[in-house]
Amino acid sequence: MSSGNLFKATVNEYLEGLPRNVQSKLYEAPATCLSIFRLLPPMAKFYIMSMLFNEQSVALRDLDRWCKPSAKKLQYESLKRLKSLHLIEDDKLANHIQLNKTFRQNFRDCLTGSQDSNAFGTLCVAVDKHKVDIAFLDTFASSKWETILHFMVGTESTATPSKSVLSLLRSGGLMEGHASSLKITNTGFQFLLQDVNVQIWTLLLQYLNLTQELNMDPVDVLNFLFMLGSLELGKSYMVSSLSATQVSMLADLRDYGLVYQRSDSSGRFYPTRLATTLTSDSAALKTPSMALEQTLQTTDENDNPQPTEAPSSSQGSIIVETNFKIYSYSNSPLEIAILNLFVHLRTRFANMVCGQITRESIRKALYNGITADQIIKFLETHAHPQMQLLAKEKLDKKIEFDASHNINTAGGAPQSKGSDSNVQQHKLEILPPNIVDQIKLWQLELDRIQTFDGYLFKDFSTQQEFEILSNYASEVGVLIWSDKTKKKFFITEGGLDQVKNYANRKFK
Amino acid sequence: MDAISDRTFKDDIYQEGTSDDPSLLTVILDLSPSGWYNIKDQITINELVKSILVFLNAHLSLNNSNQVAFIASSLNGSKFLYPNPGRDYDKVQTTVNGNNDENMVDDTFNSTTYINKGMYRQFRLVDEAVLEELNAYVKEIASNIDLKKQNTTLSGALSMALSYTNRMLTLDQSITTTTGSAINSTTNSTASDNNNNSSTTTSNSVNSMKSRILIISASDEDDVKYIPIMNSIFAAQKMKLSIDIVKLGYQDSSYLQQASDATNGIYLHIIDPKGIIQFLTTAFFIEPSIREYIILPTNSNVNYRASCFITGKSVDLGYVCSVCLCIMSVIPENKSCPACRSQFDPKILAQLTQTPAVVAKKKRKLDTNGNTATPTTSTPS
Repeated sequence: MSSGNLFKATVNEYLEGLPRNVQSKLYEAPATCLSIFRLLPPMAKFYIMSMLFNEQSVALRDLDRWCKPSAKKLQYESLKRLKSLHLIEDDKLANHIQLNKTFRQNFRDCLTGSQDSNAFGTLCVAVDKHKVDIAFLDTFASSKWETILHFMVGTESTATPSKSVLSLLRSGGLMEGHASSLKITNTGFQFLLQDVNVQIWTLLLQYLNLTQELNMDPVDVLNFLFMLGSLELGKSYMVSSLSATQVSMLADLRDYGLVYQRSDSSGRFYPTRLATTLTSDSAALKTPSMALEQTLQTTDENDNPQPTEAPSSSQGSIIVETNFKIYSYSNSPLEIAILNLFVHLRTRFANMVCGQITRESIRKALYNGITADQIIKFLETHAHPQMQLLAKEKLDKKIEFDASHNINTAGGAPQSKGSDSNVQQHKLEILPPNIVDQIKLWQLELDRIQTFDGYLFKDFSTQQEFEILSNYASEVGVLIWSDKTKKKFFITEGGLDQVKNYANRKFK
Repeated sequence: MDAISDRTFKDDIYQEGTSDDPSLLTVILDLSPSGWYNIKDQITINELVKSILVFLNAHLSLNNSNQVAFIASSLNGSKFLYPNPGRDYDKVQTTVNGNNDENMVDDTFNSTTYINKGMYRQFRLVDEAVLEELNAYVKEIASNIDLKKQNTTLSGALSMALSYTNRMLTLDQSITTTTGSAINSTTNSTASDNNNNSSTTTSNSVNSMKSRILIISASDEDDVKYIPIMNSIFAAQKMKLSIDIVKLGYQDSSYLQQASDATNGIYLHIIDPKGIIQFLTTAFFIEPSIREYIILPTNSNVNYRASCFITGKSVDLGYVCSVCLCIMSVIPENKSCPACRSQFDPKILAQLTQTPAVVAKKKRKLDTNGNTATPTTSTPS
């Protein structure tokens, strides 16, 4: 789920960066409250929920008591997130916190169902003359989105996306050059490796930046995006219930394949799967090349349609062997172009390509800013069903072995000591573990030196004083380095306030 | 190999710990009339259901792919109120659509008036279905109360919840559940699923779904069926799902306590259920994903009583079969174990049934010279 977190991180960063008054205006829309809530980490969700129906403010000390000591770091991170979104506010009483009033009211309304009937879009009542079903919406969305991706890798014979898309790609730094000869950048390559969800959000955030320049109200724009996330696939909604800004957005969103509107003047719009899964986890989505294959399939199967059938689960095409050879049964130019980023491709046949993962090929990718995790994730999600089957069988055997011998062979690796209490579980290993480790090791080769911004604490008068503070810092997870004999330790930039406050409380 | 323990490797593990996987919540509402009658001054079912619906909505709001199930259990049997395979959730939707149309108002059935139409669709589907089915269910209970049947069917409801959970875990439909009607379509398409089983199961096991069960019970009688409940508890343990218990009424229920204790669940006996929503959104809102980080608000003082295999009553002091560990409060009449049929030794039975010779004992104690032949033979039994 690393890429899922990545997308959450980008959206959250943007939201956190908004000025406070914009944030509190955002919380006036129930749909937005719901979406923002969904983007929070689990612990933060729990905090919000526990304060939602509680009129009184909660003491910080009580929050401490709910968590096990080992979860200090999680707790600290969730509270920090909530504070930067201004979802919780400090009370007049010291060390007490309270939920943002507007947020509390609107989120409560959303749960109890007492909000405006307009909050989640207005369904079209009349039957559409031009019937639109889910399969059509899927095809529409993926063809739109594929056009953009194909254009980026420079596939011949693809249509050029609309002007607004091109300007987005350029301003986002994904492509560079003049309008006639756009070339993909390193960031663009990274972009290709992401999940669809991450890709969409990257573009949408770019779009948000543009709208600010065009003097559109960011609150209106964001509300609309979040509302799209809570609409229902296959239903049409009234254009008339939208604000003027939102109506003007429709045309752009249509270009990205997020909504379908038959014509500019049409009074209704359909959200596509790309839109309805905006705020959900990545599991609900397909990766680009899968989407393409599905479109091909659905066009093939148009003769014998299967109406309610949701798109069948992913069909990957990549086989990775333990000797670093890689085969891909695909002739999608997009997938080959992506593979070419980190694989030394050797031969190409009518229906497959084969290549080799080498140190050089991976390093080339790493220099381009692609991370090992991204590569691994990509290979995993695109693995051939046969590989998944094999991995599943292996896993079953391992579990069976453990069960019959009453031992746990998982977590034999040395690092598992740290993650104490819970029993290690076997993981599904789709890729050969030696490949995964080697790719990670190649990445580690590159960053032997890491730099951090932060603060050094030194000149402690007593050993005890040093230990109290450094222990606290490591508990909240901001400690980077410490040396007992020299009585010095180093913490991250963000952790300074926390440690300082603690020191003030402790040593006064 | 130091590098293995370095940052890039550690990050993976850390993220796994806090993963935000979709989860399934199954609520079992025990509607046995006597229990609710006893606490009629405190809370009505009506008020409670309002809180439960908000709680269900809250669970759905956590994650787009989160799911809920709702089971009602009473003396007449248990029933799935949501999801209900016989019900077409899309149809409800269209009638609601029609409701906007002024001509159609008369035709629509009254269910649509329960819930605000503007409610988030995912919430509304669940809430409407639960309310409508619950109404029908309560009416059904009221119309044919059978006074002879006194046992609650909680154990049955629990097994239903477990089997449903199991099905959801193996089928994991997080891909199709973005819309509320998914369950409906899957029940229709189970036949087709079987055909390409091999390919679907492989991809499904990759992203796991978490689950838990919440039981709300007001029944003060402690005569639930012991063995089915214990079996369900062990099944739950094996599936690694926790059973949380909201106990209303006046007395603790030892079996429910054991259920939550054995499955790392939460048991709370709520004496004043007026503000139950606050309980539901704090103590009972601990998702499986954060459960290991939170100190559970549960009482460690559990009564591990067992119940007699013969009479069904709970036992404080009783007999145990030496072969199968079956528990009895009385000695069976046919002198054999009710579970494994092994014959008991008549000699030992004779000793057990022996009435203590009180007078004789007193005499022996006075008699210090030591006529100890009889007491030594009887003590080891």
